[in-house]
Amino acid sequence: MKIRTKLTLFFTAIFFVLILSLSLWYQYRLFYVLRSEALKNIEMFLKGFMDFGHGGFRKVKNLDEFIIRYKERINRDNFSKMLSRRTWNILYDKDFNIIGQTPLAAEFPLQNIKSYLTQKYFTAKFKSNSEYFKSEKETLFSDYKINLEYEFYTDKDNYTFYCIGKISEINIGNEKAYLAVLFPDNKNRLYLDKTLINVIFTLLFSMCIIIIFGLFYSKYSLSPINKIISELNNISEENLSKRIKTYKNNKDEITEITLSINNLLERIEKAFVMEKQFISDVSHEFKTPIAILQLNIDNISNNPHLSDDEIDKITSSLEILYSLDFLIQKLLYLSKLESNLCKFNPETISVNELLTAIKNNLESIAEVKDIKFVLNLKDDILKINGDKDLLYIALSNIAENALKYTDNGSVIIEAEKVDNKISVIIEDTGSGIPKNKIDRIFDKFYRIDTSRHDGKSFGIGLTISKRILDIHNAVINIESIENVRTKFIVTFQSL
Amino acid sequence: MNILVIEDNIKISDNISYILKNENYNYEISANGNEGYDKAISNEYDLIILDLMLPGMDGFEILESLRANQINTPVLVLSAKNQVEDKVKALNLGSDDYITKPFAAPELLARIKTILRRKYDISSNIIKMSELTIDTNKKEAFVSNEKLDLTQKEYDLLEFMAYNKNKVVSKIAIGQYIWGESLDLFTMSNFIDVHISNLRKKIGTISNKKFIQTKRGLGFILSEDEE
Repeated sequence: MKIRTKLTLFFTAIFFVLILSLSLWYQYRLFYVLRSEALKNIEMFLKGFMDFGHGGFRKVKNLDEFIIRYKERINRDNFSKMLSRRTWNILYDKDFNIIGQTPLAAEFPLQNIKSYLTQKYFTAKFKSNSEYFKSEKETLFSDYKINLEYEFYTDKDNYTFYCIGKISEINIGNEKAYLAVLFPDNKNRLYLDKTLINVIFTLLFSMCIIIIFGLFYSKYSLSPINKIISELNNISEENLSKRIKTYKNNKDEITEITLSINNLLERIEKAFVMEKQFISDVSHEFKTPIAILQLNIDNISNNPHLSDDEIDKITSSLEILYSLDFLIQKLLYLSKLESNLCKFNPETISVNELLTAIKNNLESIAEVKDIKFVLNLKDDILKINGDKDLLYIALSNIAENALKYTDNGSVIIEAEKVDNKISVIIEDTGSGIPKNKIDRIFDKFYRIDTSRHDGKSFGIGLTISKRILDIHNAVINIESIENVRTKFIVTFQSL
Repeated sequence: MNILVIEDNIKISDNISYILKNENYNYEISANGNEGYDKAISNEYDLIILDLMLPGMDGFEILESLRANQINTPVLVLSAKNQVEDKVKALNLGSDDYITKPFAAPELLARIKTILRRKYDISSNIIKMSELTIDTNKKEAFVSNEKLDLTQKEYDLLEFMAYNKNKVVSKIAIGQYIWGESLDLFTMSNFIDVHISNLRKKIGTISNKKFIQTKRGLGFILSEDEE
């Protein structure tokens, strides 16, 4: 996951938790406030109800008188109209039998009243008979402008609504009764529902804003890093002297990283230059004495009075000198390859063309040695990605070795495509390589037969081949039967 | 012919002077870049043999300054640097040829003669050895006025030996001249054997004379008189 995404998600999560807890707290407070408001209303109603009239209910002597007064009270016109139409007012005896109640209470009876007794307040849910409100709407509620939909909100499918109420114990002398008062609570519930929906929407909306803002901000604050990445990608072996731009007035971590990277580049460049310089120096230091020796020998060899023996010695000196020069050249080449100083220019190349060029170039060796040299191309188009010059050297070295170690028989070069791989097979009928030595033939100057020093060492050619093929991610397999044949199989990824 | 050799290694310049003396060229040796440049700018030479790594001014600087001063004396660059970039740089600065150390004496001679012929001796671009004629302009060879059908490499080989006629040319020298330094001894030796034998066959179909003789293992001589 990108740092940009991580940062954005992290801050979004933090904001989410913050906003969520704030809204939950707000929602709870709102609920609490509304609830206490409702309870206060109930308390006030109860107080008013009990204190009403001549001294109210508190002055009655016994329960019977209380009941008579209660019934008078709830049936009294202005009370009934004002309050009985919108409240539940139920009087129970000590066994919770209903003694008197308002019409609403009769229409929507309370269940399980006993269980509410221990609670400070209770809520009750009623299923409305839609017909009731419809008929009452015209007559009763219209007089007092009670908004039905609002006060007794009935959701059109379920016709349910909520009430909040309190049941209080009334003690008169030795007798006991219970008075339950319920107010419709739909208004508050509705209000809470609405605020909850608002809170959720606000939450989602602010999350979106934060994500978008966060993405932009993190992109903005990480943009110096992206700049560094793209500048670094533009630095290759050819332009190692390039440095990453620094902004001096800015002393943040990015500037520190930039300075460290530039320091590192400085050191890498120095090492590269030194390596290059070393190779060039070595090259010069070796080549000058060889040049002198060769000129000396050349100039001696034109002396007409040389004996045959002297000519032989001169010939062999020249050959040794040439081999030495050749070897130094290859060693330097290998060291360039190994320190990645060689230019590697990959392009799409045709294996067939490459092998044909190698075959044409080496053909005369086979001619002189009188061995069969065959190129067998099994597919018309074999394309790989690689450096033409380097691959020529790599494959030519292997073919040259095959020719060198084959005295009679044949050397066959084949190329074929199997699935997504292209195999180049170079097979000879030469002396073969013992099984336990196959792994070592790519080592520098490795000889299969240590007793033989006829100049036919593998030298360094195969080491170079291996290195080049490694750069190309090609795989080399060798199958060999001693004194019968050797098979080099080089497998490339096809294009 | 006046030749200026600017080369700081005395052993190499000694050998070069030996080669030039045998060919009856006049020459001067300069072992320092600044001194060499002064000589080149104040005297007239037919050819300058210029090493690249020199004390004082280096080869590239000398070459650049000479050409900037309208001195168009042909320059043959000698160098231990065999990187392509160096060759390209030298040729771009106006050198006429580039030869990397180590080089064989016959190769140096062949290159000197090629430059001199190209620059001054346009009339004599034909090398003649009794029945064998080589036209170095058209890159064609004739035996008794009959054109030889030669490949590029065979022609190069014949021309190279003609420039060094009556001298032993080692296989090494031939290999370095024709293939550069990229071949190992085994491969090179085989290549040369094939080309020499083809060349002999082609000449042999026209003339009975053996122009190309083998000098034991050392190499070959192109000469008009049979031994």
